[in-house]
Amino acid sequence: MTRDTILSRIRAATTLPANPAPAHHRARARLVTPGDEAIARFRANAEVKGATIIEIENLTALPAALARTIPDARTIRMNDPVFREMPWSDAGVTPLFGAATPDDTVALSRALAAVAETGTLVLASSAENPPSFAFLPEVHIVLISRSEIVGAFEDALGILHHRFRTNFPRSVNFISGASRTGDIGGRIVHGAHGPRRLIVAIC
Amino acid sequence: MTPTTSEFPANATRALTDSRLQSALAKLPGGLVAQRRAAVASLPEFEAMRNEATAIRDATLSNLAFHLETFEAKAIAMGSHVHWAADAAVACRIVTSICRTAGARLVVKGKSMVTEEIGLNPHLEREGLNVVETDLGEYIIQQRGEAPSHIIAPAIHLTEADVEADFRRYHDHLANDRPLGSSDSLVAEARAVLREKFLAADVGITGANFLVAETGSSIIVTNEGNGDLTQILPRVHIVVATIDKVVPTLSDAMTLLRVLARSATGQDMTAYTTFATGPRRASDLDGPDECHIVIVDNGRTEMLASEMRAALRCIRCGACMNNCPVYNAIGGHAYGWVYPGPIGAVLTPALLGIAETHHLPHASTFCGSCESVCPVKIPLVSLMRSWRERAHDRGLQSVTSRAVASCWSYTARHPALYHLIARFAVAIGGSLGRAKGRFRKLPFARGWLKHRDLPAPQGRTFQQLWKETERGVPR
Repeated sequence: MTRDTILSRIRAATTLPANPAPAHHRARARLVTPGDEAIARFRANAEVKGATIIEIENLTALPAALARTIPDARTIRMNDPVFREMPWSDAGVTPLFGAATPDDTVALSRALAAVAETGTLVLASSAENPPSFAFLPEVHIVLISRSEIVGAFEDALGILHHRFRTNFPRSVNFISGASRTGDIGGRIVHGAHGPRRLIVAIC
Repeated sequence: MTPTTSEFPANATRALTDSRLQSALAKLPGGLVAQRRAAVASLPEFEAMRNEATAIRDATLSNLAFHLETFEAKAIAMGSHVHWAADAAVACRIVTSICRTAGARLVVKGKSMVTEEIGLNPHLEREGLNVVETDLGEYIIQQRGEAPSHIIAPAIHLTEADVEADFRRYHDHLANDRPLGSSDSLVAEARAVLREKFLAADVGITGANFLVAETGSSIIVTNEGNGDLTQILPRVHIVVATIDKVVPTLSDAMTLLRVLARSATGQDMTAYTTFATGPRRASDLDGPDECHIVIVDNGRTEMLASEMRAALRCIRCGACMNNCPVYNAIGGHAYGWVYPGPIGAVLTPALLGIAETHHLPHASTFCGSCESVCPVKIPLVSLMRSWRERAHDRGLQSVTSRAVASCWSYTARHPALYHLIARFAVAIGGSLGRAKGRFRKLPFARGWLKHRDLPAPQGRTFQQLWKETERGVPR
């Protein structure tokens, strides 16, 4: 049986003297304390990657803030219950609930955490936040609350472990800026396959 | 693809005179090389992270069977099917059989080096499947019927004009007079064409940057988002990964990811880093119904049992080739197979055998740039030297180079003889070359002197100078 053959070959090979013992210290990125410093660093690092950041005081302010940022958006795909009670019609936007379709141009997700270290959003897949929202439309909007912005990746892993232990949802997406490619002539072009634009709403 | 590794000298000569290739390669130093340097300079902990990344890879390889079994058990518990393939043929058969069972016709692929290595695309096409690469660079070279010329930038050897010509030829259903003069319009066209493929595909195949034992997840990193569409939209997701891709924990994976993107493109993180675990859950609105993971050996267990084990640390960032003067001069295709550059010069002989590939470990000046940038500190120079030794021991080199090496070896082991010859050469060379201070022509060195002069010796041998300074006599 192939499996057992491969594993026994590996066992035979690894009885040879191992490479030098692992270092147990963990090289960590400069840690950032949660709070204002982390929010400022997250913001700066995400903006460097081309994300548009909007800060809102409360959730009811989201539709109007989005209408100012993307005035052409008439419909927005979303499915997280947190968005249900928002005043969308006041902002001239029709919310579309349910699964994404190929015709959607704008989608709205809620992040589980954000990492200041690199300006990265952490999304976990669910019926409320399907990963197709992050890749099918032209514009992806992500809501993150201030208290969920952490310093380093290890802090975000802590949140994931606390929430899921080791039973992860189908997809955990670390998103750092909008889709891009450098594959043609080495020049960076946005909107390769995923969204051309990433908007982060910090509440 | 059929390797042309045995024709390396001819391939390299052709590459050196290919002016379009040379203009594409000229962008490397100011591009990926400079971007990596800037990223490393802005992170004081980078060196500590390299050490940590190296230790994680070594520790994992030392206990690889345990980590693979842990991964397998967790992946199965999370609903994935795990398959094992001893070699390329078995891996291709497994993937074909999954596609057949799924009734697939159209397969989309994310960028994956192992599927290039095992020749998956031609295999699937022979089985009647339509296979479409979706990474933009891979899509371009698939149209051209070429292999990748770089492990992270597969179409780096092409210019915008090349791609425009290809798209006009290949996308013949689109208007002939459409404007395609910029990379923006080329990307937009590829996006539209490939979006149709994503939506119609039955199976999505990706590689894995890492497999995480702790969670049974596969990790892929992309900037385009094509890998994600590949594993979200089709009904079946197949991950193909070699045995060395496993890491014990998510925390280990993060340390490796921190050095991966910085070493590859100079980014601190690529746009999309995705942890995929199993098929869609009952309540999910998207995702594949089935998730298969094919774990491939294809020569890795032999490497694990030899000094080549250190090469299995590789995380496929491409920094070694970006910083290699030989790669910069000839590009990736000259190496004649899937993995170019210094890592290719080490990996390819291990995977294809030294008999067909013995030129590759010689495609190095041993300057050590590759080692100095490798995020997992693979001793590429000593591994290439080891392949050179094995090639010599097997008598694979030409009679001339074997004779020269034997003479050199004998002389180097007899210091008195060495000293005598050196003094003779310095005396003769010094008196003949004193007038001009350099040689433009010498017997047996026409090729070497074609592009440079040899400075004439200046009176004394290295050993004589060394002795004088040892006695405290200033030069």
